[in-house]
Amino acid sequence: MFCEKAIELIRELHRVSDGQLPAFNEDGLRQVLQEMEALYEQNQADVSEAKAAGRADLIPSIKLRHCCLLRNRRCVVAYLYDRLLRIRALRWEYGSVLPANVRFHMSAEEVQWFGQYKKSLASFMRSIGGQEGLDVTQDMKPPKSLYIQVRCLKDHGEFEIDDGTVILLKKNSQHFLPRWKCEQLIRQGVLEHVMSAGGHGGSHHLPQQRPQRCDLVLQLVVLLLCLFLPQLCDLQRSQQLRILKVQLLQCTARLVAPLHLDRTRGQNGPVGRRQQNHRLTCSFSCCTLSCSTLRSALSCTSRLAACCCSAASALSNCS
Amino acid sequence: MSDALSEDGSDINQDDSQEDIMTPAELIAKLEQAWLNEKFSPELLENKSEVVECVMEQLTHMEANLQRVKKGDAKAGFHRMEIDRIRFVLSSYLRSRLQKIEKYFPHVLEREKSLVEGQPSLLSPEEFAFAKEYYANTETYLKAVALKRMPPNLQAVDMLKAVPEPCLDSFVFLRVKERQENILIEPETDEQRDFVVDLEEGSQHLMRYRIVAPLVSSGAVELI
Repeated sequence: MFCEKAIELIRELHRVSDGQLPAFNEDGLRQVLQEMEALYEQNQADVSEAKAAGRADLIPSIKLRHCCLLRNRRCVVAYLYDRLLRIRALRWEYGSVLPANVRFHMSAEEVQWFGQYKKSLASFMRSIGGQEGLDVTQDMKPPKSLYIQVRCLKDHGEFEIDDGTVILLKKNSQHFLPRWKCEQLIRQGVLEHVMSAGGHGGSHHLPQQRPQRCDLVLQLVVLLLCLFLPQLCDLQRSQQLRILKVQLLQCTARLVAPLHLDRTRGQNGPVGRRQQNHRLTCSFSCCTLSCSTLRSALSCTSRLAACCCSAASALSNCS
Repeated sequence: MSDALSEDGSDINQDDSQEDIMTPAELIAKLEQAWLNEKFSPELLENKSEVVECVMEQLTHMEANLQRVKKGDAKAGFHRMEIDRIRFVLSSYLRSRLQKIEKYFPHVLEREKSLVEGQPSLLSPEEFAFAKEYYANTETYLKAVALKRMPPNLQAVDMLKAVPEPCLDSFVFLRVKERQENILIEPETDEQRDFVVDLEEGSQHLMRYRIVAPLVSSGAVELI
């Protein structure tokens, strides 16, 4: 089938994940050019015969071959041009000197093209503004801060910064350096920008909440004990019961509110703890509801006892 | 604006004596607007080389001032951040222009050639040189590697057809700075009819770039 080799070239580029440069397919290109030559010669022969012998039936095959020639040329030019675009992107990413493994995949003419491109880009950058020019391959990202924390990924030796101090860049050492000095080295892979730790704001609020929560739970337990131990059978103490019940409700509300916040805040606490707390609040609210009558108060003592146990275990898990 | 810039206000007034006198704040605002317009428009816009030159001068002034400031002064940090930010905006502006030049190089050169006398040029002299070199470089490469080994009637490749054109029908967001009346919106499909809108000052719209292209170059709308 005609044009198969040409499509294979395109497919090869398409297969490689974007940006990377595969090796130059010299063989594939040669085969396509040979096919084009063969098609052209056949066409030449047919055209002269059609003219000489007046054979109009050869014209469709001439047209077909011409279309195949055009398609082959289009595929070849697309292959070469796409490679050029990838090489151009390498200049912007790696700088003037390409790593050896990338250069190995480039043909001699591509290396020449790259050298020429580098030169025109450099002369353009030098001519900006009329004085010493501006390096537009720097400053690729908007500046967020003046100094950044960087970690050294490989030994780079000594490095001088603006005020004259010399820093030794040893592997795994961390430094706090001016951003504009580090950009080039970050792109080459010598340094690595370390994001400041403590991105999890949620973990901070838990220790603060913990004493509050412990307080509240203790308060609840005390209230429940006051509520049920001595006054269980004394109906005249219903007034006191009501007061204690109100206090219990308020306490539960204060306990539930930060836990609601916890849930909306999302990923910060471990899931088990949140579920436990959730169960705790549910059980407490059930108890308060069931405290409305004395009989139910009696029956829910055991439940309350269970609640207190779970509260205690939750406390021990918190700490 | 930072102190370092305001100290240099007098310098820039002397330099721009032929043009309108601009404060540094106005200059940076112009740069930012040119940057955003260039970023969001699908085709290459008019070059603003005078803005670029003035901003470069400002940057060198500010750097010189910073050298004079004594070490450990807290203000030096702020001035340096200001310099970094301005340099980023300028670099980003020039980069987006370069990318468009490289992407549409035959069309850009064609537009530059077909400009009428008196129209502002699309490319600065340096950009024009860069575009020509890029064209020549790519053409030589293609000829050397493939085209000269092809049959004689196929050796010429029309770059204008081979390289895709910028899509002027892509939609852009814009904010209106000066009130415009009777903007004709052409139909996109055969079923639609063309209609006319008025653009109020301060309003924001989403339109095809082709309709507002002349307004962007005159400064009546800005792309956001």
